[in-house]
Amino acid sequence: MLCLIRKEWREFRTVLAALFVLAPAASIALRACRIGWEKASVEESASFLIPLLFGLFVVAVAADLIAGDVRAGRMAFFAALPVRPSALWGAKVLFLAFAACAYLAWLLLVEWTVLELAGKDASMLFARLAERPALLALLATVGAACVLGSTLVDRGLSAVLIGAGWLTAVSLAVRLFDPGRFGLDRTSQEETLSWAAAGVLIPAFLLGSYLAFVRGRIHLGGGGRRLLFALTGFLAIAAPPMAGTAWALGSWWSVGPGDTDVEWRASPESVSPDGRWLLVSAHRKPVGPLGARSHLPAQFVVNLETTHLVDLARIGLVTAPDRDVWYLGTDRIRAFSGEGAWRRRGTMPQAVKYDLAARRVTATRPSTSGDWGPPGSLYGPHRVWRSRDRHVVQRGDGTLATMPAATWLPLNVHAPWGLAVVGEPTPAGPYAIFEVATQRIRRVAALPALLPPVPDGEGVAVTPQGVARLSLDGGAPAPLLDGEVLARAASPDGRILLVVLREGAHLVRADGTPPQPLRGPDGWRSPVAVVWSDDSARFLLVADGRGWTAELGTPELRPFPVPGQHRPVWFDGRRAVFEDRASNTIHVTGANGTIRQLFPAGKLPVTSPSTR
Amino acid sequence: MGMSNDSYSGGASPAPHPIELAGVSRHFGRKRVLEHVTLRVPAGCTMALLGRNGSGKTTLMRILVGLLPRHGGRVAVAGIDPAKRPHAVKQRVGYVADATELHPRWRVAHVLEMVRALRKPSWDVAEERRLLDLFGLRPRERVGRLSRGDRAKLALLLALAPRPEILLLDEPASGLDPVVRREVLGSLVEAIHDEGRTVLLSSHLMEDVERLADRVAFLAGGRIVLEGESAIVRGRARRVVVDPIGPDLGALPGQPLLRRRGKTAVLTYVEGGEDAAATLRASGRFDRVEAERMNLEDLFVDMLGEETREVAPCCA
Repeated sequence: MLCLIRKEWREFRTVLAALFVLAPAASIALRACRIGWEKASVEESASFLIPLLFGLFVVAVAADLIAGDVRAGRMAFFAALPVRPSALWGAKVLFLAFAACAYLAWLLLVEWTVLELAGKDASMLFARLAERPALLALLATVGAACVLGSTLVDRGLSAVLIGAGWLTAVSLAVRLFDPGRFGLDRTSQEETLSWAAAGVLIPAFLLGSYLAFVRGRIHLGGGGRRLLFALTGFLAIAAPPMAGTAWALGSWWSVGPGDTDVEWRASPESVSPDGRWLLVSAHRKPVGPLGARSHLPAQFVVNLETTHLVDLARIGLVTAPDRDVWYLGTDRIRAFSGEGAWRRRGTMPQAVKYDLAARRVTATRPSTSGDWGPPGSLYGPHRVWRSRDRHVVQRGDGTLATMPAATWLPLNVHAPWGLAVVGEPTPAGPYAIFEVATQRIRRVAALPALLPPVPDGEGVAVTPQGVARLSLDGGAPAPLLDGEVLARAASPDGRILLVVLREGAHLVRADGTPPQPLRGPDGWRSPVAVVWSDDSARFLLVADGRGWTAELGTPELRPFPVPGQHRPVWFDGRRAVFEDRASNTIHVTGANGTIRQLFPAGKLPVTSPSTR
Repeated sequence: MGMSNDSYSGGASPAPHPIELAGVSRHFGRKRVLEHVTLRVPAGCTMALLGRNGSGKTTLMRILVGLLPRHGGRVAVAGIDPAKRPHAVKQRVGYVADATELHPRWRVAHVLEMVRALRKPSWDVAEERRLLDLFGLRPRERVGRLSRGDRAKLALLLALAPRPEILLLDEPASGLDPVVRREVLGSLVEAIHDEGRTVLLSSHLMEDVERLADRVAFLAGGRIVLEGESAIVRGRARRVVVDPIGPDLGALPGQPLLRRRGKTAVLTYVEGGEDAAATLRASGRFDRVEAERMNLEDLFVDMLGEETREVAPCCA
């Protein structure tokens, strides 16, 4: 084996010498001609120069490692000697590994020296490089891919192209599978993929090369035979973990109604406009060392009257202005109608091409007919990376507008003329108002909980001392109610703020009229949960495990059946949907006052089969 | 006429056969290069495998060394199947390929060092030095600067230094000038006779074959068409010329190869030619009947040449 490694050394020493000389030459040239010595830093060494030169080295040597001997016909000479093909191959790969390690050490030495000579502190060089192990692992993977390419063809450049193409195909396959859907954020996804590349792909490429070399009769040519063995070797190692990962993630993500290892969620936007259907989301509970949580829940459509499971959908929720049609989907919209069947619909109007998620933020005028997706609703990007700088907003007339929103986040603050957003603090103030009608952004000094009816009016704010009225342009707030606010909720039409203090509940109007106290139990205690009906005509309070409801115009709170101290997410005056994360349950209170739990553990409370 | 796959042993008792092929076939796509080849090389014998370019000599050699799989038949080299245990065969065989490619920047010494390490423990360093001196090779010389003759010598040195029991030489002196060829062959003769090795060499240079080979085998159309002791083959072969001939030649004694040249017929006999000539003279059918001895080259050309030939009809 040593004599074979020496053979490789003799054949490659000219190339190695050139690459070793290139390292200091490139480093000095970069600093002298491009960056300047005063700007020389550890960062460019660790993140650019070392990886670049290391990658170049690995590719240059790997590309001709086997192809060179094949091209020159030397394989036949070695094939006739009493030396096993596996020893020949092993010597080549070992030589590459030793040379790569030696070159990496050389690069570190060169960069350290250059930086020290430039008067910079090079002590962090190793630490910076150690922060990027995934990058070096990726470069090693490229090298392994080139070794495989070198086994299949007899030209170095062709070997590089084959290796790069093979690696690109694998990367695309992984991307198509998109493991990011399953809870890994982008950074950890890339980091994980890089390590997976090193751990799986390097052995896969090397095994493919080994089999092609040893079994492929490389001394005779026979490219087809070599390719076949290369594919076999590669798939033997790469296929099982990929398939296993796909299966594991698919199993983990796949949720059925009877699964007990999920978190059930219902949100205000989950109930259809006609109040007949409830969309329930099921997330796998966080698992693994990363606590990965699937971003993509399974969805179940449930009939609120009968808790009958209708269908299973796997994509996110989108609102639309139609009354009776409930849209579900991303860029391909599907609609679920009252008949209980899914049907395809086109894209949203106004050529909105993002993936969308529903946010109901405000209403510009009273909802007299219970319109779904009232004007002023904010359509934000479902995937932030696709639409960083725009939000889509629906105007009062139903048309859509776009809003620059690089750093704006929508707040759940209601106003008849706009919606409040918050941005980065600036000397002009930390808040801004987006006027929907004019699409203007106006900075304001203070952010109330309830915006005034007109842009220049006074809003209602919740302070640590209680409730007050204040101007958007700043100034001292005028107290309306004193006491600690236990809960507050603005009506969907943006006109009334329901406030719960310890001593009682009140209705505060945006039009400046005095607060209206509500007659009901005294001595409210935290926590208190509140929800308004969509028509802004009534509301529901839950405190101490008991429910209270009232309608506008009647100051009396009357009892309402609730399953306990659960958060109400929807209420229409007769029925309500509750979610409790502590017990991981969703309950539905029917019009007759009965309370049913959806999907109790281990039991499928449906009368028709679900589909996965 | 003895044109068959049967061995022509001249009546000697069969010796152990370090090289054996039985019904070996090999094809490349649709082209059948070897067709049921059967051949046995006795121990200590030097057999020359003769054939035209593209007749399958190199293919047969590669099968014996284990570089090429066969598509039928049985092969044994030193009793080992090279397809199953190629490593074991290569340890026992010294092989000179028709073309030996080495890195041009290597030095002779590096090549020797590497092959010596790979062929331990059979490598004989003393023999290496002797051959190095004999061939006049300079250890510091780069392979890329060696002449064709020196490269042939180096290849031979690499094959002989391990003192293998079997030598497989694929056109070892091809392309060499007469002076170098004589040097190379001289070394070969020495190596063969001193060690009593079994040698199979392929060539189309008759002078070399006549100098080296105890036995010859003619390979044509993927088959062995003639095989026997070279002296006997050479001694018994006759070319009989008869004329004038008509369109219908009539029956002829033996089964000679027949070539027509106008009114003249050339009959090639591997054996029995003198008797056949006497019979033809006695028949009075021809004005001229001349029998001449043939050397290997004459026999090679007659048997493997491109001219149209036919097997003459035999006497009733």
